[in-house]
Amino acid sequence: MTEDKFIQYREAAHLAGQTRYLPDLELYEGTLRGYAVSSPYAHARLIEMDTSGALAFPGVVAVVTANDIPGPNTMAPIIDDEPCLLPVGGVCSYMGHVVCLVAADSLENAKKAAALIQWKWEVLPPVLSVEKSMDNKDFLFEPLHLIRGNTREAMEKAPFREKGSLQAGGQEHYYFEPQSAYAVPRHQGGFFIRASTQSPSDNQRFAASLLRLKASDIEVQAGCIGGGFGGKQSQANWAVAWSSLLAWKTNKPVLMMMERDQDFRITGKRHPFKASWEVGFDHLGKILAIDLSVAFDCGWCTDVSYAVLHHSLFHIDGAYFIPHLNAIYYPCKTNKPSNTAFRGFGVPQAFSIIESIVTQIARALGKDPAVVRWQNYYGIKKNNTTPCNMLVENNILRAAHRQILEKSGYNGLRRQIKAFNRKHISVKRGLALVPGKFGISFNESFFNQAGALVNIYRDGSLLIHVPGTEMGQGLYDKSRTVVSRELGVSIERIRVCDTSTAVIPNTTSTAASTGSDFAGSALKDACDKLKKRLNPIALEMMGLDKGWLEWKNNAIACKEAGKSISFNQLALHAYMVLESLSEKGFYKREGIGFELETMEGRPYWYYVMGCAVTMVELNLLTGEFRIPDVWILHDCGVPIDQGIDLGQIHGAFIQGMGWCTMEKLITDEKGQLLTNSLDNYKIPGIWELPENFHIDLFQGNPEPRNVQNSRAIGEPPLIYALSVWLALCDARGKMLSIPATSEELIKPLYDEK
Amino acid sequence: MELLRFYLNGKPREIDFSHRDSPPLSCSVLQYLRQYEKLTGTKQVCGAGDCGACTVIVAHKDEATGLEKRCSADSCIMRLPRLHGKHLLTIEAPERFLDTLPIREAFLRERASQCGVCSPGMVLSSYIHMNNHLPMNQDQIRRSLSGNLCRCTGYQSILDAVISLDRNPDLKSGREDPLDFPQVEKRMHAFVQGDNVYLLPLTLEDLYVARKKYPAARIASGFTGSCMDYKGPVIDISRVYELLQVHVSDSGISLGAGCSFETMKMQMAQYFPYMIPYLDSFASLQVRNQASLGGNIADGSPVGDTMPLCLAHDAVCVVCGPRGTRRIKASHFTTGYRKVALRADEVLLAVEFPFPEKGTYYFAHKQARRKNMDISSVSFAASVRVEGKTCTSVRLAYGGMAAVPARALHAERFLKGKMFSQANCQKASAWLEKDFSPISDVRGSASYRMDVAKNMLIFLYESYNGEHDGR
Repeated sequence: MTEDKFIQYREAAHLAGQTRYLPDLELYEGTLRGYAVSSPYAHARLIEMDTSGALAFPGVVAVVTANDIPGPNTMAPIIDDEPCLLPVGGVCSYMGHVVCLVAADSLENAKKAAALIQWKWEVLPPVLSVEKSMDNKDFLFEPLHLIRGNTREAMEKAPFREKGSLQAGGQEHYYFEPQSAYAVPRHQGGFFIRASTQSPSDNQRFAASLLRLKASDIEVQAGCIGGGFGGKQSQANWAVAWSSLLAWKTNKPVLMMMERDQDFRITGKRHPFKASWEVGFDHLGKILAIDLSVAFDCGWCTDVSYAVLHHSLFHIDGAYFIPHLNAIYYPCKTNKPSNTAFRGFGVPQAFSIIESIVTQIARALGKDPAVVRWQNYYGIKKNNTTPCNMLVENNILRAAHRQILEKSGYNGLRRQIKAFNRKHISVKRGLALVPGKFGISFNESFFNQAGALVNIYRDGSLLIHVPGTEMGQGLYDKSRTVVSRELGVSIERIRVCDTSTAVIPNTTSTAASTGSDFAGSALKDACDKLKKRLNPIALEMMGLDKGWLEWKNNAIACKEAGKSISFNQLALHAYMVLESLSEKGFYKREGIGFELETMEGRPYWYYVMGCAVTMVELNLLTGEFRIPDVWILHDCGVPIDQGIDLGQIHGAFIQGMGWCTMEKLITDEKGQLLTNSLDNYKIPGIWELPENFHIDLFQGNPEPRNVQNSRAIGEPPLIYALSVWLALCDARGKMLSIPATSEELIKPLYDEK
Repeated sequence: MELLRFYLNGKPREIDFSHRDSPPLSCSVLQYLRQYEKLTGTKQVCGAGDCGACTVIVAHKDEATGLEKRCSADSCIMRLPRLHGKHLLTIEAPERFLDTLPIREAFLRERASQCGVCSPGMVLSSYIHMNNHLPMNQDQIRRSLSGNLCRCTGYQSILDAVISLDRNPDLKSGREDPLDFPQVEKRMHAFVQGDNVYLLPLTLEDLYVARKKYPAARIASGFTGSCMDYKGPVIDISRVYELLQVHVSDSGISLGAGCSFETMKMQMAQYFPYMIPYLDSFASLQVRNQASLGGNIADGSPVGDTMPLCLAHDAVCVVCGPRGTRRIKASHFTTGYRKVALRADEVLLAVEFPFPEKGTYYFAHKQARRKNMDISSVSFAASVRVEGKTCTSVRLAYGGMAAVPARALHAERFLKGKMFSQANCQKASAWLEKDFSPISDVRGSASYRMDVAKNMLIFLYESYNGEHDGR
């Protein structure tokens, strides 16, 4: 590979240290640093506040409080319960609640000034557990119900019944680039904001509303960002709002970059939960009825919890047909950061619940859990509708199950493990199989739209604009691939522009794994339109009246006439004959949605499925474990870029494993997050990577409803990580809560006889 | 006024700390690179030596051999003055000095960079792996990269990328142009900025002089522990000749307190191979290159993971000062929570590990949430001498179980003179309740710590008996 070709790739710049994330930007002269000042209590009323000391501190240019905000002091994405800054008289709802903002010539000065703010608080008792908020019935919105059939009757008739419970902790995103935004006032008015974000259009909307400006006055731009994982879906609004408020107040560029401990303290995480259930089943392990209630710790405000809980509830069936279901989700309000989107968006939680139910059935019947899973999968012709009455199409659950049993040699392994465990006292092996089924789309119908722009230049090079942001998931490269295939041009000549609200308006968050579905589909639309307009010109250039044209190998050819022209010739000629070489594309998914009353409808465009098997070896003496083997069979349809998809599977699995096994958030009785750095919050390192990671892509099941027959990839494989947790439960011989840290896994063997 | 002299990516640098626009004396190498050199390829993520995103390569000329040696370091916790006389290489270094191109190409082929923030650090740690000619197997590569975290890739592609470099003919690592090093005089270096000083003594005599002149200055060697955030006057003892000496005699090995953990590992490999996995689990390679044995012990931390080793070996801490040298048993060195037996003018000179008596079995285990880069909840080191079947001598040392690392004397007393068996180890574990009453914190609850401590005795017995590979 030559150096020339090398620099064509986004990752090449990453590897050479050339990518400039927000902390690396070259800043305009006179740029100020912003600092957000947080409440010192988890629950307290702000009686009074005096910021004059801070304002007088050397280097400080401005202090912004709620009173200064020109527009409405709100930035809630769904339910209006989230002020941008806490006003005097208001009640702070978590330790970290932002009260005011300081802009100074350096971060050090801003922080020193912040310490000079005088305030008086009336401290209130914090609610820090879902039990407490359940007792108080303190919910952020009405609990959600998903009901099918007659659970009570079916439960009574069921030959077997089991009760159980499960609790899981949260998870910090730990994107490597912290929450950050750089707001620059424009000469003509308005602001240009460079942000580390998954939602440029939301950021634009909130900045405009806070400043009483129009959306057109604000441009939000995102280049390659240093990870998101859902953490920059709604929560990127904060840094954007704060930096633009300070930039507006000072008329100077303001860089707002959360420090790592601040990021830990202020931003929300994956939703922890406590679930309890009763399940009725028959002698084969077939589920007859499930009665289930889950209390989700949503934190202090709604944020996107409303959507997370819906998405989760729509997956409470897992991969299984449940004839009678009564599920209730409680959105508990607690005095903690507002829990938010995190890769999987409630689905990993739902799967952990249903999979622990299935495991418990297997235990009760003395069967292998894989056998019970097989009994309960959605069918192809019958038992093929979800509790919200959506048809499960292109169902490969049983096929994937069968294939993974074979690939992993599951039954042989099971026998070996039994023999191994009989022989060993302090080391035990465990095995688990977990299916995946993940619905793709935003449940809210209007989110399912996207725009894109394709520019061809007269020299035959292309520049594309996509609606989504590039956070490492490979959206930009997949977008190039889609255009490359549609227009038959080599990928090297296609460049992707930084994502901007000024070019593609009204975009939906790059979330719900829809990034490449949406961008790819909109780009395809643009390419189709371009071809439609340029085909007659190409024919004319070939001296033909009509003919079927093939766009391939940087050329346009008419096979039947044996003629062809190069892409470059066509581009130049089209320009000369006054034909536009630019085209916008648009994509919408119509018909997605559900009835709020009955929860019935079609919340998803399609499902992504697969299956995983994990074997673990647990040292009972220490609670440490190793993972000799993981097998995954995942369905990407026809992958747009197999390398990217494999990377997403690996990455999601390890990230999910972090949630299941080692990432533990600890809050003290005052509501202070004690795990606020990598020193005390542990994410997986390279030793946590399984020793043998066997990944295959399921063959022969293209997705007809999606661009180039591909399927979305970002979130679904995270579910497979539950196989590590379940294998550990298997090795430990009991159900474990999440995360199953060594503290859960260790077994006191010292007093065994 | 002494100038700080080093090379950066092939170019000489001189820093006058008395100058108005110069970086602060406490400036980290990372801050210097990003703020003063505008080199942003070295990334800041955790800011505390916990992730490796800021990995740089520090080259120095080995005094004895005259050979160039390259080591990785976390630049976020490395003080700028430590570069004096060295050559700093970053991801931006020209290929003729630092050939990372084949590595980057391999990463690109394997799609081993997603969001990309960890990538420059990963590339440099991979480079060091290649530069040290380490075996190209999974295990060794994991060892080399265990100080670099990635939140996106799940590591498989990174591992594959490095493995693919095996026998790559393009790789020039180790065959680059020789590096330049600045001439620095062989005497104590002193960098002054207003009231603040940074002293780099080269001998014990220098050190005593420096201490007398700046009694308030803190002594630091690696800056990876409790000095990490300290910004005041410092005496950096990492170059004190006497502290870097390793002596092997008939009776044992004496390690200079200034030896880095990596040096310690190398030295101990021959005599106490059981220690290697234990030492390997400390922090990360980048940190082990900087952190010293002496710092770990003299910090007096309840979880200073080398102390249990010292206790299990009945090691001797040799301390020295202007008034002479004293030998203190390791068991008497830590006197309380972050308190040690050093007098105000003394430093830890060396630690003497006696060679094992025949028939002695050693065992060590560090228990933490993650295998690497984690502070232990409990650490354990033991030596057991078994004659016939009887346990004639036993030392059971724990970290994380009390305010200081300590031996479990009750449990030891129970075991001594008894048959060394699973049953007796189980019984001995009950005595740990008398030896320790651990606390609960973010690294584990009191009951968990006690469970671990007790299970360790079973673990010890099983490894002794060959039932457990002690992984």
